[in-house]
Amino acid sequence: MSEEKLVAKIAAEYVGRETGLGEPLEIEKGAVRRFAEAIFDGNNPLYRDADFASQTIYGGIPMPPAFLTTNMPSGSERDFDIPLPLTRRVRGGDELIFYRPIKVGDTIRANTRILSIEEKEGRSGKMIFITTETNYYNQHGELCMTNKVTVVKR
Amino acid sequence: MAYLKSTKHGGVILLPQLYFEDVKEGMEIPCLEVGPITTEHLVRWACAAGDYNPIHYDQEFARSQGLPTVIVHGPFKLSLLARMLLAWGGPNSFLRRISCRYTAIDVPGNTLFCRGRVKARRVLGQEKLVDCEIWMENQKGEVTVKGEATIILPSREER
Repeated sequence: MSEEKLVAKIAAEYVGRETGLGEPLEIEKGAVRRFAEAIFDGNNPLYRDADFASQTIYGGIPMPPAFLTTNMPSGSERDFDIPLPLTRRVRGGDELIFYRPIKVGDTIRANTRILSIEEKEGRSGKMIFITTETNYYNQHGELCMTNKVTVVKR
Repeated sequence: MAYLKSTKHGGVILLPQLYFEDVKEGMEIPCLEVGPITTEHLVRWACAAGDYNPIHYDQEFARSQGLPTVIVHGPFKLSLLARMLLAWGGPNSFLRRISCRYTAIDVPGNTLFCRGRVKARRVLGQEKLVDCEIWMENQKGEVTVKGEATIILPSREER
């Protein structure tokens, strides 16, 4: 089978697959603080002072925006073991949409779905673009955030 | 309202708040400069974000993947751009959307400059939204992230 046909066959089989809601993750104060430190924002009272944070629109210590992009088992094409012929992998892009704040103490569950698997010709040869969409829900079942991730295999 | 807060250490923190009325189309967002980035920063990010892809800390593995050395995580760069936006917007701003394309790699030794510009301001229902063009440059002048963001700001009328 040619590589193009193989990718089309894999796409037909895998696009639309979902992980289902996985194991919940609690947003912990210490984890938020370490994340803030990693992005050079460790002194921001919003991420370390619950009294201060409670006076803001968040009403508590919020999660820094990209905290969940890789902190949960669900969140990219890696959740699916897609049998693609190329192994080198880079992240091409992220699109995060926030519907409501996620705060320390919240418990988040995520569901990832494969949106597309496409082969394209790049400067350095064949590349396969895999797009997934992950929806993040809080303990009340409310949709808080969506992340659309594009991963490039080459 | 600017937030004045006595800290446990006796000092006072002042975080200025940006209001929707203060924003104009074409306005530049204050640049956030970070770096030079070291491998320690990458390891700290890997632990904080739970991203243990070895292309970010194992040089030999990174080279086997066709990379010159270990590279800065894409979502790390997105996070720094988000930080720039929220530092500008103040403690009562809310990031509605951020999208980034990682157009080139960054490696340890690079200094990262987060930049942005206001494209439009609009009202949607109760929400006062500011659409921004955002990007990252390194010390060589290479643009390594291109993106867009929308931030929600409070209004002076609601104070």
